[in-house]
Amino acid sequence: MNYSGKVLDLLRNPQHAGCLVGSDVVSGEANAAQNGEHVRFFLIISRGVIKHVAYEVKGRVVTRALCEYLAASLNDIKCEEALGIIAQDFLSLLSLNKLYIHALLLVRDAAQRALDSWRIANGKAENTKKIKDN
Amino acid sequence: MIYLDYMATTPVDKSVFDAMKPFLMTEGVFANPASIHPPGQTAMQAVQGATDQAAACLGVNAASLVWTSGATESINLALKGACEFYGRTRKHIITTQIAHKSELAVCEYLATQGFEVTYLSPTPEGIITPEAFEVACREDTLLASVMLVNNEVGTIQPVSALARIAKSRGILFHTDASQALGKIPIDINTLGCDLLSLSGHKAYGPKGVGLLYVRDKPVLRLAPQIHGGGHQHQLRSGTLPTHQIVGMAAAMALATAQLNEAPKAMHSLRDQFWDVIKKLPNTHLNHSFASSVPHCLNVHFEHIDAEVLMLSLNELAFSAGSACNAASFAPSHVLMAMGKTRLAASESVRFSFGRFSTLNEIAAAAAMISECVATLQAMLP
Repeated sequence: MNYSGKVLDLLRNPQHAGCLVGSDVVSGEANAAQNGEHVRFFLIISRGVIKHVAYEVKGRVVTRALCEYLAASLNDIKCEEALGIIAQDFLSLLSLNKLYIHALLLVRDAAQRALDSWRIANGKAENTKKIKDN
Repeated sequence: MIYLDYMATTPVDKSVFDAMKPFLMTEGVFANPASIHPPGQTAMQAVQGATDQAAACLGVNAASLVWTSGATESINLALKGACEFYGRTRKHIITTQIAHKSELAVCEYLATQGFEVTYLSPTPEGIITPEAFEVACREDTLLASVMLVNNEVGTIQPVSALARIAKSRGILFHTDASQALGKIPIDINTLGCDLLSLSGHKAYGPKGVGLLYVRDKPVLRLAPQIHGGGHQHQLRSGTLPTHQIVGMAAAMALATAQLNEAPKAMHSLRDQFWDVIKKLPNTHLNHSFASSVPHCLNVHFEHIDAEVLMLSLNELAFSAGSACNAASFAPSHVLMAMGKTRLAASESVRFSFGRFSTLNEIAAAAAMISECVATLQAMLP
């Protein structure tokens, strides 16, 4: 298949691949049972700002590129703004076919669950629900 | 770039290119071989010489060979031509689940023309057994087609035994030998098939040319599939491409001459490569070396998508043995027919070596693959 240079660059030069460990790390994961894809996002959030992002992925080209792109996009972003970032149409931004929506949803789910973990741990679950409802 | 995709195509050998050059430009023999003027007749002599050369490689009469544009056309002519000519009452065809797409597509077409098709399952090692073949044969079976060497896993099919069974039942037998040329002997008398397809570019010949052997004793008739000026005994119209034909014949002669030595060199390359690759965790060979041609390895890297591996290793050229399109990455139908899961098939890639592969290249490629697989495995959740 033909992918853009941007997608190939994200695939070949992952800057955020790997895991984060420590008591301040939150994580969230998502699975796609139909094709075996699996994504886990790790965040370190300090004073409401995402300071470190990492991800682990078992997935295809697009899923990996989306993980890397989203991880880079979340760096140094305030948590209140993160859901807006996560909700962006990364397929359009990377000139990817809309048929890859399953990959986008998988990556979004994992990142959002990581953020949810932090909100729950910090007593902000209600806020998350409101953002989701909106 | 290290090229490890010789089963997809091969470069033209320099001696083949040199043989083709005199038939292209004004100072050479470029005339139409069908023309009766002297340059045309010189071109026809070159075509006849090349046809004799190709026939000698296969152990058959030159009159039994039809030049085509490649194996896909040969398969189309063999299967459609036989079914159209002989298929008024016998309407059953046998093929295999591990056939090349070009053959499967022809069978799907014939199914729309009233033919019933049986798709034989291979063993887990990728072999079509004579026992399974015999069970599939019916009173109304007209034609059977089983490829000699599989293009994805390199398994060598017992074509002689299958063709014997077919003959005893009065069933026409076709084999696609495109992947066998230069790897194993192709003696049509030993194989016992009625129809055999070949391609030029799989064995260091040019792209755009192929051959179909059509049994001549007793004569087998086919309905032509390309109509026009009635070239090649009315069987395949179209101006004969002198340079292509001379090139393919030269490639066949070269392949036949090197048949003793080339497989040994391939064994050595494959063993060196596999000795490194097999040490990677969760890495499996998808076929048995014992029943495969020596230049092919189909490997399953667990948890690593084949396309990811291919695109990550942009200094290596190899294949997923899968059909790609814009929206999906279809896992190999061959591997799934052999009992591999869809997921395992989507995590499998094919490496194939050739005449110009070197030990240094193989060592470098194995090291690059090892490093890449380790990196991708480290990213797993």
